[in-house]
Amino acid sequence: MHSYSTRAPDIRHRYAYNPSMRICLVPGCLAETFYPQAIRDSRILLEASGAEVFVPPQVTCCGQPAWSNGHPAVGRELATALLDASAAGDYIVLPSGSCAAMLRVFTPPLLETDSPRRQISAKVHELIEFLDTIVHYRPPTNSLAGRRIVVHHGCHARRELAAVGTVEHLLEAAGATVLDWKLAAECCGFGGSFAVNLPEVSVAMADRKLDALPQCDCVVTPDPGCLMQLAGRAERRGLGLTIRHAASLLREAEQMRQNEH
Amino acid sequence: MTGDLRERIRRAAVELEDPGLPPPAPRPVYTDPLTRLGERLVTNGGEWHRPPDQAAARAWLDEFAAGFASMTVSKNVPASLRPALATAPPEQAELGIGLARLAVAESGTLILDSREGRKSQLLPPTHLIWIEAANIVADLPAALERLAPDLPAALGFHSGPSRSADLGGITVLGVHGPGRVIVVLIAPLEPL
Amino acid sequence: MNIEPIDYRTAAARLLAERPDIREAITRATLAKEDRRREGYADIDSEAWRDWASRLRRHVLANLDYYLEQAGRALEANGIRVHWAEDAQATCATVLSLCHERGVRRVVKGKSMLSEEIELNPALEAAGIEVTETDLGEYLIQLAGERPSHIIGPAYHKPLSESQALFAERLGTPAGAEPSALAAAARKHLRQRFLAADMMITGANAIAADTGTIALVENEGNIRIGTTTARIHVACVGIEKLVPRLTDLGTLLPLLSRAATGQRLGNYVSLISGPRGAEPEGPDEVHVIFVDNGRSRLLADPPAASTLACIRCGACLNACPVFRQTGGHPYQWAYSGPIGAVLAPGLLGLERGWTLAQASTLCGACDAACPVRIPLSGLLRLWRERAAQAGLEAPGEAPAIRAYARLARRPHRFHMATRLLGRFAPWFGPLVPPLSRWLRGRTLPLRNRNR
Ligand code: SF4
Repeated sequence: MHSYSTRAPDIRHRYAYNPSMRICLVPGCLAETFYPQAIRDSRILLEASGAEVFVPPQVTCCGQPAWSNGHPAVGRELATALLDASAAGDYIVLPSGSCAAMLRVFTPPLLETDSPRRQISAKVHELIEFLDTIVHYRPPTNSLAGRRIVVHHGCHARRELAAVGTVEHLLEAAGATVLDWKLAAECCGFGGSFAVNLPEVSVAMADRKLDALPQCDCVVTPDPGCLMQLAGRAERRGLGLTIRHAASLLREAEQMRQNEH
Repeated sequence: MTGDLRERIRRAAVELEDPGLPPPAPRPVYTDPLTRLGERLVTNGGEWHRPPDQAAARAWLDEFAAGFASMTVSKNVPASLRPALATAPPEQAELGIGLARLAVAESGTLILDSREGRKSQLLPPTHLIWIEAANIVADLPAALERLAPDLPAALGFHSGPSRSADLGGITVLGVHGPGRVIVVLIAPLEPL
Repeated sequence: MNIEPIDYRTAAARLLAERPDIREAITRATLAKEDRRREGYADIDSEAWRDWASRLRRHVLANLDYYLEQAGRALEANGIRVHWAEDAQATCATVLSLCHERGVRRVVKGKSMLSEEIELNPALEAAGIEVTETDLGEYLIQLAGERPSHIIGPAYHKPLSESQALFAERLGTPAGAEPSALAAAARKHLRQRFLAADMMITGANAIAADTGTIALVENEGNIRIGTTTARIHVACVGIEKLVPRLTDLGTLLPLLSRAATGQRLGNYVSLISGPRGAEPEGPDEVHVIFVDNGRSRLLADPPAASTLACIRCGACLNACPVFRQTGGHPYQWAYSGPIGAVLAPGLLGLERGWTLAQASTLCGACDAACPVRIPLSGLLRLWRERAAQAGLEAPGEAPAIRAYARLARRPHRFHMATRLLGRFAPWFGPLVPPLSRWLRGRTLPLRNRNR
């Protein structure tokens, strides 16, 4: 079973250690399948905020693929199972804006009005938004000094979770320069089944985004779906771009603090 | 309406939630509609003149009209505001001259009444519109409220020169209607 | 009856492969209009205006029978003849009989998507009537024998070079003539058509039920001229296009203009409240044909009825990143983009239209743009659900979702599967859909790559 254990050195003295706060880290299918390192990185960052982190083995999928493709009953079933499996957390945190939006915004309308799962749903956060606005995590000053970075937010994180600014805020706190991107707000073309049902249009959408990128050291996104789409397309085109999960870059910054100790 | 269609629509409509008529949407308050009208009209590609008095308006008109060979004039324009130009049918005239019924500051819009004749408003390549200061209103709902009791066959709202961006996304003026629109503010007129 | 679904994917793939210039033209036009819309929304309290418009339009839909009767009476009282048409065929028949009774040989038209929807031009031409589109973009499309690619900008897909070649061939303009010279040539040619026309056919942006007034918004002046020079004006109007009061237009038309092009108000607005009567110029007759053509069925479908609140501004098309790659042609009917995708199953039927609901990532850009707050991505999802219930899905999708759900119910197997998939997908991916389709143009991440 995955535990995404981090064996991180104890850095809790930097933050108010709060063992009474338990964070349920939910990996999400795509990260679990293709980006397990991003989940480990997420765990390190959450632990750096001083809380206890656990990954319940029963959590699987948030149900969004079924829900958005015309199977809301299946979507609701998976979403409620996930919420039940995560209920022990004071917060439920996902390194995926899209899954977080599913659980927090799209699931409640599928539930009964008096469902206790509404309260569980209200505890759901996207990782970076959680770090920035709930626990006020800050990366070490100057840990990313001189890096020129472009940020992509998934559309659900942008619209449903109003997450724009969170990643940027943490990167700037680490001394990085966040660059303007003319098409920042545009969808990358992933869209779950859309990417395989209409691959030609999906790829054209990714190209539009990639072609509008400014010169930069790295593109980061807190959404594994967008990451897979943009990185997969950039690699196929041989663009030589570095595209990473936002948690991975922030973990690298966090490493500097750990190295100091 | 056929009874059948009416019945079908009635049965469908009653099933829908009715939020009721909304209260008016908020609008910015313009302290100086007159200046605003000029600014907005110019932004839209129109020309705007504000002569200090009737004599200045007349002097401006004579100089302006010298650039044209023929005109067509709305019957609402008083003799004092008609230049000494040969008249021609609207299909041939170089210049159309009219008197706006109202103007809307927020969008730089002149409201023209079909009772003055529509062709002179549309067919000549240049359109000169006189507007009285008293007939300038701040926004479109206010204008419509004033117009509602006395609607002609057609009201034309003109906010600038005729334009299109259908040719490769490049804006061109004077596609069908006048390519040049000049609006001149005048003091209240004597009733005709 | 065996109804073929609209194959957006194949048409889109072909367009992307063969006409990269169309993709460029559409992207440029829609991005520019999207910027204009943002500017247009920025200097009003756009949230409040959109709430207002959303509420107004929904109020109209919930009382549509009342407002239609009121509008019908008010129009007639103004001397405007009112007709009712159940469907496309009945609408065309009404126009044709007007033409026959009144000896109409030459028709000029203002841009109207309803006219595209009901295929009015072919019906008129088949009856030997000369039809001339007078909106410059629509005229270009007519010359080229094409269809509009956007509900506001029919020629957004046309690169300038194509328009130049077309005008050189058909109007004798010099090769590579400037846009202003092309426009001048069109003006001269179309002016003759206006002056010779018997009938002007338009749509309507709205009809005010209280005063019986037809509102038309445009930028070129062709609608104003056509409704002045022709002796008969016919407006074909969807039954949903009503506003209760004339003064409602004072907010609706500026909002429509801002959403469509960022303008504070379209350059020309015509408010038509009757035939010329005793006035010096204008048509002797004005007719309104209220067209149902599936709308009352959509109205009777409460979860989808808000689709009828649409004011056809095109903002959702401009905002849509899918539309931006292909323009409207691959949607293969009058309406395209998000609104086209939710109108298609509603008006054409689920069997024909369901595929268009797949042509979206559900990114929500359309929801954020729509001036009347139609929940477009929610409606796309609704039609996906109905399609799934009717057994209409992409090949293999239903079994795939079932298998996936089964797996997700068993956490242990699920985690094992993700591990295996993550490790080996790059190797067996090319052989199995949907991974093979992912690999069209993209790589899969290598799991052991440590980053
Ligand atoms: S759905 Fe909304 S945004 Fe799209 S055309 Fe209609 S009114 Fe405009």
